[in-house]
Amino acid sequence: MPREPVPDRQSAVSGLPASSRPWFAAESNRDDLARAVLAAAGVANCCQLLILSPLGEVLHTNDRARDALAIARPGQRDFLERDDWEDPRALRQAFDAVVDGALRAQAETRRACCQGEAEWVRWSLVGHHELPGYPLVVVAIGIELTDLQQARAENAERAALLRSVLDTAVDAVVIIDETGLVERVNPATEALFQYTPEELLGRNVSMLMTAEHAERHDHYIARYRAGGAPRIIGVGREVEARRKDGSVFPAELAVSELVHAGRRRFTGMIRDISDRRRTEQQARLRLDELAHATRLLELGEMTSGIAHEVNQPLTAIVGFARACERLMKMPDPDPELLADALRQIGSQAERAGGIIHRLRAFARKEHARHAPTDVNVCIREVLSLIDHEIRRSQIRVQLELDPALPAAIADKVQVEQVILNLARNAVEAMAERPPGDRQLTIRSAATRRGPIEVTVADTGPGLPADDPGRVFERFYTTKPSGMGVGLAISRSIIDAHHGKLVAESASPCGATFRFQLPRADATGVDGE
Amino acid sequence: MTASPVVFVVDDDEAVRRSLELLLSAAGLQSRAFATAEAFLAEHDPDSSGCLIVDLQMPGLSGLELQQRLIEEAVSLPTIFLTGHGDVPAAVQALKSGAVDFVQKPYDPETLLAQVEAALARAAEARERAEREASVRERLALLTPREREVLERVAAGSANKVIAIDLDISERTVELHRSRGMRKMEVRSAAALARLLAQE
Repeated sequence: MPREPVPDRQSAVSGLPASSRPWFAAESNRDDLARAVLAAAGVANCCQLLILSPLGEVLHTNDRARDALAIARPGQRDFLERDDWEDPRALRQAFDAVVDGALRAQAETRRACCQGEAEWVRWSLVGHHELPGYPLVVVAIGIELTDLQQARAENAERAALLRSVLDTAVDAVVIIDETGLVERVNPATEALFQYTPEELLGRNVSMLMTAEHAERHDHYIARYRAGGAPRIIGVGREVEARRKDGSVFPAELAVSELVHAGRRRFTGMIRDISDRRRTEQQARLRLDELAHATRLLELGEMTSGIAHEVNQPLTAIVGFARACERLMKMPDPDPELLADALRQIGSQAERAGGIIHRLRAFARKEHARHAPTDVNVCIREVLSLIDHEIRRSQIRVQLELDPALPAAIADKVQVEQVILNLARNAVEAMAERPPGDRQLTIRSAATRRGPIEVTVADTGPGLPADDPGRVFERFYTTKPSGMGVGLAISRSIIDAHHGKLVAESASPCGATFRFQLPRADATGVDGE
Repeated sequence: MTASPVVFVVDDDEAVRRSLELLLSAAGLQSRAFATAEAFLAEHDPDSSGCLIVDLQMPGLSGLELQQRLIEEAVSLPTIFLTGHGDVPAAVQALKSGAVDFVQKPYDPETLLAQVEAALARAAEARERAEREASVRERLALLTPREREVLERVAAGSANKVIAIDLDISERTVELHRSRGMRKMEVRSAAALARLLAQE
């Protein structure tokens, strides 16, 4: 829309003799003019009134308009081209329409006023041809909108805004009443669930869920209606949603409660998270495989120690067996002695079998299974695997295990892998210390409601002082034969358990590694 | 020395220790077992006879360190090392330091018993030799300087007449010293005397 008057309008004005084209009506004319216009408009000083030339110049104002718009000197284009209109286009359009011959036009303006409040004015613009000396004047009558009118106008705007948001939202939005019946859905709902709005409106929202979730949802609603606290309000619950064709997809559900005019509604936003789930699952599988490969690497490094570990019971068995043989050849063998030797053979065979069993469990390639796990048992089993290394390295082991440690939700093998990695690092870190100063401390603890925490501390040289976190970087190693992947994998494993593996230098020497695992009794049923 | 030989066993693994004790006792041998080298050193009587079976790798004092300690204290105890898999360098060092033998776990009991027997025999032989040497030294200490001069020449095969000229004494005096000295050394012939002195 051109800002300057178009030429034909200009010629309508320039058709007048120059002397009779005042920018402002002559003093003698003003009262007549105003009175005539006021009379025509049928309004007193209860509204803002301006008389404009076809060029948009202010010819005359009443007091209310002059005060409201702070027009100091008529004749400027103080009205149409003000800086403080939030959007002057509507007003300009209306003015141009009237100049172009329309009988009347309407526009609304809004501008910020003194106390930060908006002044909202509805303008009616009317063209007049009868005023002496002017081919055309435009009378603008502005009615300031009341709060209620403003609110209505704002509501209409908000409703339009909401509709536009709902229409363009990528997530499905479903609004239900307090009994679970669908009141409103957005277009994305149809795209996601394949149901048309007509198929959904007035029906129970549970048709969009799997049977299990539907049942739970009905339960929530029933409990809520019985006066309980709403259980479903919140952000980002993961649920299983069902399409019209019966196919199921993982979804994230956020529910908000709306109470208005005595009615309760719930708004649910549903997002398809199949892609995210797939990505997460792939990452988990990769971690599982990497963890397995690292376990095998670790076991490879431990071969000689493990062989020794198995050798001990075998050695004992061989000795006991041959001793029995010799005893039986004696004229009067002591049955008690024989029985004890046979018992020993049995328990030593079990000891060897136990080591093999733990080894196989440790080497097995299995996807992580998070189940209630006794972390103290994990710690003991790891120590039995590296018993030989610990003894050969002449390390004192201090175990501070919480006897009342609650079960953790964890993958046993992966937790053992982390403990093994930390313990073996500790053993190697202390190689340069005098034998009397080598102490490995493993602690398990749980605060009252907090997670289970495991600490592995050594008395070695500690962490790199400039950047302790560097030990977690892939391929960072201080061992001549190390690959530098153990700690990085350990940290990923703990991350996957929603914990954190951190390292710090201890005082006066040594390094302390600490990680947490969620406790089994802390993770309730979904939504509880 | 009347005490019968004892096989000392030092191994930190209780099952290995107990099986060795039973095996040795079934073979009619006396044994005493210790869980650590320190415990063994604390109780060991340097004069007791026997042999030692010790695990190469132990917490605290290792088998090699125990062997070193015994050498320093001049305790002669034939030692058999028990080794795990891959301990060859340590075993070689043990042998260089005078170990009798080393056996890999799990050992063959008959081989181990044979090695124990050999070690005990070696211990007994060493003890006998030591006792013999001690007794010769005791007898020699009884001789007068003149008797000793005469007997040295007798053992070397010299005749009385030659000795008399050599020492510038009468042949009769040589005979006197010779018979008194032979009695003190508890030998009858010059050849027996020569063998005895050669042992010293």
